[in-house]
Amino acid sequence: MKSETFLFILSIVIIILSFTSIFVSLYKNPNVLQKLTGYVSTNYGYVNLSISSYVSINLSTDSVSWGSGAINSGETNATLYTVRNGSAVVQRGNWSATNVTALHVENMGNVNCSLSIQTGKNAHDFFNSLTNSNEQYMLNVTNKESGSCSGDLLGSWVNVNKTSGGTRFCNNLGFNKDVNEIYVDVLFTIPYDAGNIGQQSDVIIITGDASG
Amino acid sequence: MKFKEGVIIFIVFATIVLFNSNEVSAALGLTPAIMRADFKPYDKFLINFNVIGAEGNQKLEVYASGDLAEYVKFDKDELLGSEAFIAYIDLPGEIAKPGQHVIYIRVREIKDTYSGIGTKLEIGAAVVIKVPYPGRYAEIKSFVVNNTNGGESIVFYSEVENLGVEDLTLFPNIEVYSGNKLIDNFTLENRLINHTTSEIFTKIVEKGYDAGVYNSTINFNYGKIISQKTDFKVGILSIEIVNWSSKFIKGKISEFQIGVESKWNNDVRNVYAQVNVTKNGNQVDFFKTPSIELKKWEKSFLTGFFNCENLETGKYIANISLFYEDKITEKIVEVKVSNPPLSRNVIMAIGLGIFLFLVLIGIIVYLFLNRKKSFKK
Repeated sequence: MKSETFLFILSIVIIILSFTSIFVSLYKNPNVLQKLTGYVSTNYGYVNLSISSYVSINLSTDSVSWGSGAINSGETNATLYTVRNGSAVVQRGNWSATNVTALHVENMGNVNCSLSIQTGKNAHDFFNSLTNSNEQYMLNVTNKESGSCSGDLLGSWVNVNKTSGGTRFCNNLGFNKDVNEIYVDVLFTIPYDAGNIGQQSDVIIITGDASG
Repeated sequence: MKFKEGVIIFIVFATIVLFNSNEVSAALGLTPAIMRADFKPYDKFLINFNVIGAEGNQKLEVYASGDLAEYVKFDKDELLGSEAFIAYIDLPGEIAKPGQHVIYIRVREIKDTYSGIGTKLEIGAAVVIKVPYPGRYAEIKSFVVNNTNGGESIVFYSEVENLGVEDLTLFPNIEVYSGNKLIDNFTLENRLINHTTSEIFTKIVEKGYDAGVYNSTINFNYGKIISQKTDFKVGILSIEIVNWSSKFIKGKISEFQIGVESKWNNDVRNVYAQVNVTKNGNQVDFFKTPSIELKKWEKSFLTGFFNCENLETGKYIANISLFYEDKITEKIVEVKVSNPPLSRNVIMAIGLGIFLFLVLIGIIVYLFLNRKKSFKK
């Protein structure tokens, strides 16, 4: 019985002390309620963060490798071309089309960029047909993702351009993850009377300029 | 004999034209990508660039291209991997042509040897030098109005740049047309734009508009009026049947394509069609297409299969019902079932028959005329 009385009195004292403490706190600092909620009404944190713009392109196709082959007997040329990421096509010849796919270009930056392609040679430089016929070296740029690139030449086979700056295929290659990839297909028509014999080489320069 | 030699020569030639290509997987980047500066006579400044994404041992060359490239110098012309470099820009006292001049600071891969088809990546950052126009001159950089659905608010957004040498006060006004009819017109708050700066103007129309296609014009008056137009669409939850297959071959199961176009400014899922084909009120076939998802305002096709194996040639009525959300769009169209076209062999046989018939007629006429002559003799 004694201990019950003691606990009752102790509770009353604690309650009185608690209320006194709350009263004193509010009296000294009337804004304390706002601070107790944890809700920041007018004070904002300040973070200094700067994000730089960058232009970046990635060429991720592993092979445009036709290997060696021959024009079919009785034909005056053979045509070889890539078809995006599908199987390449070999007409009137016996080059291997296995694992031959288009160049795959991706805008990895955070700004749109234009895309131009320049080659080191044109078809005649490459094959040097003795009759100056039956030779082609062409490119075809297509969107991997719809809307990635805009330009009048999109989807058409276009003769390569070896002049400085090359041919602009894309005015604005987007950088958003869903619209930033294109394919560059390559086509060769090999003449039967090629003057350049042996292994031939060329360099394709792919230029991505930030869209200013 | 000559032909045989020729064949051997071109086989030999063709065989040795090889297309061994380099395997490529490369990246190249440059930061910052875009820098803008106002032209000031004889101004000198430098920009620090960083190459990103290049392999550590990749050789690179640096050069400038485009307008004003001759006024750029670099602290180094060749780099190795993702290195930094500085472009020093030393502008002339005067640039005759006002407007934007872009200098491209380019970095290009150096690859000394090639075997087959090689590739080089080249990346360019743009340094835009704005040369002010004499006097008062502003350009509208953009005017965009978002597509919405009926009753939803519409946002008009425009950015204007003062490209002149004087500050301008712009008085903007927006007109909205449905066809040629002016349906809305509002004046925005006028604003002072300092020279070589740009300002953004926005207007939100909370009430929205009824479904339809609208065109809008924004005008800025600063003593001279500059304008720009744009179209925008207000959608309605409706999908239209815009075309369909109408000719079929007797004795075959053929694809029946239904062209559909969404008039809604949101994606619509689970869109499918049922087609009921009848002749004189009697059902001859009924089929359903798989369902598709239509993106906002998208045109697409639904494909079903029409069984004409046991149908006679002639005209049939197809009732196309398009199902989406809780709605149905219906269209009753006429389709035609025809005999299969003649095969190439049949056409050749008929052609040959006609040819032989004509030859026969010729021979008869010839013989007849010869006989006549011999009678006269």
